[in-house]
This record gives sequence, C-alpha cells and structure tokens, in this order.
Amino acid sequence: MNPSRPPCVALSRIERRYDRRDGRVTALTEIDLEIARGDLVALTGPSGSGKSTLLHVLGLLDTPTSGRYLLDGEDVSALDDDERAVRRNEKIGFVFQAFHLVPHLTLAQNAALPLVYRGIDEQERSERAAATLERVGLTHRGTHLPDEVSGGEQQRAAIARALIHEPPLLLADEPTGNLDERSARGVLELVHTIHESGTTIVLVTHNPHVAASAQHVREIRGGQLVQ
Amino acid sequence: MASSSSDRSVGIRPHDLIRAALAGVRLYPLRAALTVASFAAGTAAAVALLAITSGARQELLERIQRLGANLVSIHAVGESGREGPPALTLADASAISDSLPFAENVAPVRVVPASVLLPDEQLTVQVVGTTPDYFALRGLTFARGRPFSIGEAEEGRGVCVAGDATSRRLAREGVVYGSLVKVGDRWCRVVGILHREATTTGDDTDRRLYVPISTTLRRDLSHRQALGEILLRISSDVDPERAAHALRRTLVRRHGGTEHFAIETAHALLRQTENTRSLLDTLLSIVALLALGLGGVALGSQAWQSVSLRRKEIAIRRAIGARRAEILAQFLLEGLLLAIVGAVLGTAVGSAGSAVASVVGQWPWLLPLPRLAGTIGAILALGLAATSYPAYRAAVLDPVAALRTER
Repeated sequence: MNPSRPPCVALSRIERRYDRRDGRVTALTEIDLEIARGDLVALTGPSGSGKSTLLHVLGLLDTPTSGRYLLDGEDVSALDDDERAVRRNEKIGFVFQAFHLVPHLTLAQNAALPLVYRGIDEQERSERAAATLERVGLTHRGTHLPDEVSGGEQQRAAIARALIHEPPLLLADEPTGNLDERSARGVLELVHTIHESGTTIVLVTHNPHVAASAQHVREIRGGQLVQ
Repeated sequence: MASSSSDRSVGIRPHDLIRAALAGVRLYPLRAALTVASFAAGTAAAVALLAITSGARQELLERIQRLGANLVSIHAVGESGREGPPALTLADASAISDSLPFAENVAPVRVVPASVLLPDEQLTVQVVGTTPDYFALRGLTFARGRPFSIGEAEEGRGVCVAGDATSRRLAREGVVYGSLVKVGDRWCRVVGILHREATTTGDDTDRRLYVPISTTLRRDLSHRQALGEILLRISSDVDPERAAHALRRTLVRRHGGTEHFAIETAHALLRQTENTRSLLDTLLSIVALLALGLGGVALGSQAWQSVSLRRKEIAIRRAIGARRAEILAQFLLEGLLLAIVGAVLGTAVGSAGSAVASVVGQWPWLLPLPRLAGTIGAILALGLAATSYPAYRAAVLDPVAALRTER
C-alpha cells in the first residue's frame, strides 16, 4: 500500500439506526473499517448481522445515521441524494446476488447503462460495452436479453456493468449465491482477475470457501465488526 | 477530489431519455394502446365540443350582424277572440310608421296557411303577407330575382317570393322563377327566390311563400284585420329599451288599454338564444370534461402500474447513478408520449367526427386554431399532471428496499 495515497474506504464510528413503529433498530454500531486500495475484502456473518446494510452504506445507497465515511479520500457522509447518485456513478460498481439486469435491455445495453447517466454518446458506449463484455467472457452475447442467457452469463453481464466505468470500488453482494457450482467458480475466478488488475473489492458472502479466497476477511455480528 | 463531480455535469442525454421512455412504453404495448385510446376519446370529445360550440357562436355573431342590434319585433300574444278587436292591425303598423320618428322601416307580417294549386296536387304552404321592407329587415337575400316593389305591394299585385325549400318543391312541379302559380284563389308570378338560410334556431323562412300583404287581406276590412307580427328597425341613435317603451305606450293607447302583444328587441332575442346555448355548452363541457377526466385517470393508472411493475428497473437505474430528476423525467416523458399520441389521434377523430356530424345535422362547424392549440395544451398538461404522482413515486423509490424485494 502506498502510504501517501488515502485508503479507498475509511469508516469511523459509523452507526445506522432505523426508526420503526415498534421501536428503534440499530443495524450497525461503531463500525471502524479501513480498506486499502487494491484490497479484496470478504465480509462475512450470519443473516441479519448487518453485512448488507454495511455494503449499502459503502455503496452510498444508504446513509449512516452518524459517523464519518471517506470514499477515495472524499468525505461522503453528508452528501445529498443527487451527489450520492453522482458518486455511485463515478466510484462504485455493484454486483448483486440476483444479478439485477434491466430485463428489456440487451446485455450490452445493460453493461453500458452507467455510461448513459454520464451523458456519453452511444458510439462510445457500445465500443466500451463490447470491450468490457469481452473482458468478462461474453463477447458474443451482447445482443441477447437477460432471460435468453444462463445465470452465470447474467452475472458476468452484471459484472461488466459494474466495471464499465472503471470505478475504484467494486461491491459484490453474494455474487455466486444464485449460481450452480460451475458458474460460481467461473464468476469467482473473474472476481479474482478483476482484483488482480487493481480494483478494490468488497465481497459479502456466506460461503466459507469464497471468503477464504479473499486477502482479508472481516466478520460482522449484531451490527459490529468482530475481528 | 472535488473536481470529480464535474465529470458528471451532463447527466442523461435528451436522446437517451426519449429512448428510455419509448422502451418503457413498448414494454406493455396492449396496455399502452388502451391508455392511448381512452385518452384519445377524451380529447376527441373536447375537440368536437370546441368545433361545435365555436361554430354556433360564429353563427350567432353572424346573425347579430345580419339582423343588426336595432331590430324590434312586436308579436301578437294572448287571446284575441273572434269577437274582440285584433291585437295588431295594419293600422297599428301605419301608426307606428307615421307617429314614431325613430321607426325607420316597418314591415307588417301576416302568416296565413294557403294551398298552392299544382298540376298533380294541392300543396299547403305558409304564406306570409308583408311589405318589401321585410326582406331587408330579416336580412334575407335573393338567389334569383327581387323582392316585390312597394307599388306591387300596395296595389296587391299577383307576385310572390319563394323561400329556398318552397322553390325547390315548386320546381319539381314545373313552377320556376318567372312562372305563374295559383296561391289560394289568386295567380301570382314568382318574381324572387331566396337564398337558403342556415339556421339552428328560429323560424323556418325556407318553407314559406311571400306575397304582398294586401293580397292576404280582404279589401273592405283591411285595416281591421289581425297581423301576427310587426317588424321594425329603429334608428341607431335610439336606445332600444326606450324605443320599446314608446312603442308599448302607443299600442296600448290605440287598443284601449289592452296589451295583447309582446315587444322583443334583437338583443333580447339573441341573448335568449345565447342563454339556451350556454346551457347546452355547459352540459357538453361537462361530458367532455368527464371523458377527459377518464382519459387522465387511465393515463395515471397506466403510469402507476408501470412504476409498480418496474420497481427493479428503477432501483437498478438509481443504484448505478441515475438521479431522482432523471427517473422523474423518464416516467413523465412516458406519460407525455402516450398523451401526445392520444391527443393527436383524438384531435383527428374529434375534428373529423364533428365535421361529418355538422354536415349531416347541418350544424355550423368551426375549429379556431388558437383555441384548438389551447385545448391541446391543456390536455397535454392534464396528461403530465396525471403522470406526475406516479413519476414522483418512482423518483423517490428506495433502491435498497426495492432491490431486496424484487427478483
């Protein structure tokens, strides 16, 4: 790690509480976490432990109730909704367990979607989509709709979408959870390849095998990091 | 890192926004078509209403211009029994003409049913006995020939003028302009044929035959015989209300204090017509508004369904960086596209339909462009309003919750 550059992620004393009708729920308590550039961190923990909430906070989809979040050196704890949308577009790539592709768009259009919200023209979008699909091994699938391809291929297209704008931080929520063993292995290999090319990755997983393949493993229980 | 935000000053391009909206519309084509149809129905109703009411208003204005504001009609009303004196007489008409300086043209009108003897049949027509002034006062124009002259009228010559419908009826039996026709027991020459009068209200001048008033009166009793109406024009520098007052005083005095007549000014008549019209307009407007309202509801519920069925898509777009305004714009645009298609179809159907109906029903028809543009603008605004709440819900959707629940 280069000490002169700030870490990719620095959380200090992050709390996330929800006000519900039956009282106040604390999802995250006193989270201090630093992720260096180029790290691959696995986040594990039982269901309901708060790991998805933490991932959503990291991905600027959720706002912490208190605490400080520095993303890529910038304090993003107090950004408004529009600013967070812009930062998501620039700095975050999401990969979800359920792939979450837009069903009526082709794989290439899905992969290029983040560029649409950057005002990049169609020519450049399709060139970059083709290159990124090639990178994830979907060269000939660009014109297919999501339900015309396998789960593994859908997840690869989702990874292409997360990579196309070359974000500093890739967040993956159980990326192999909905896949058969063979597809899961392929997707995991892809994640490692992406990591090797320098992208910082946070991987939420139940799977001990997946967790073991990461550089660092952090476990969360009851909304707190335990190791 | 503050400079990084400037990377995305642009946001989605208009072209891509339109494409996203079009793609959204095409997702459920049948539902989109039904929404367009119901929106088009509302638009058609509004445009047809606009065309018909504008036509009627235009006709009314033309009537005011043709008649002039200075026309006064005195009608005989109430019981004028066989024994009693008639309500209005030719002498009254003469008295008005002679003694009231503001009375410029005075036309006595006597309507009697008479049979016209034709080679094959006897035709009963309404024969109007009057003076030449009548044609000018009523704004009647001649398709052929001329009105009878004052001389012919006074002498009770055998001449007549046919209304449009009457002339066509007579022509079928060989009686044309210049022919002689037997009206009652007198032979009359057809010296004039009137233009057809396009009217939606009022009396049927087309189906009449006009003769000099003296021919309809028995000579010995002429000045005592009843008239149906006295029509007159008052000079334009006299207030119609005051003129009506003076006319009433004169007639009441001549009839020994009885008042078996009614005085109507052109303004009052037209005002009355307009009142009847505005009631009709209001009813039609309510129908059109209801139809449009239903179209708006259809559009709103289409947008609402679209948003609920596409929570996942919205959440994905938000997660990868769409701002709320961009989601809002996408769904507003979807609604607006449907509204535009509906409005265009509805305008075509409404204007064509009302034009056909106006030809069939012989109503006036007019589609003034500024008012049409205003109506369409209001309809599109309604479309936007109907879509605005669903689009707002889409914009404020919580992507975390949607991504958790949608598969």
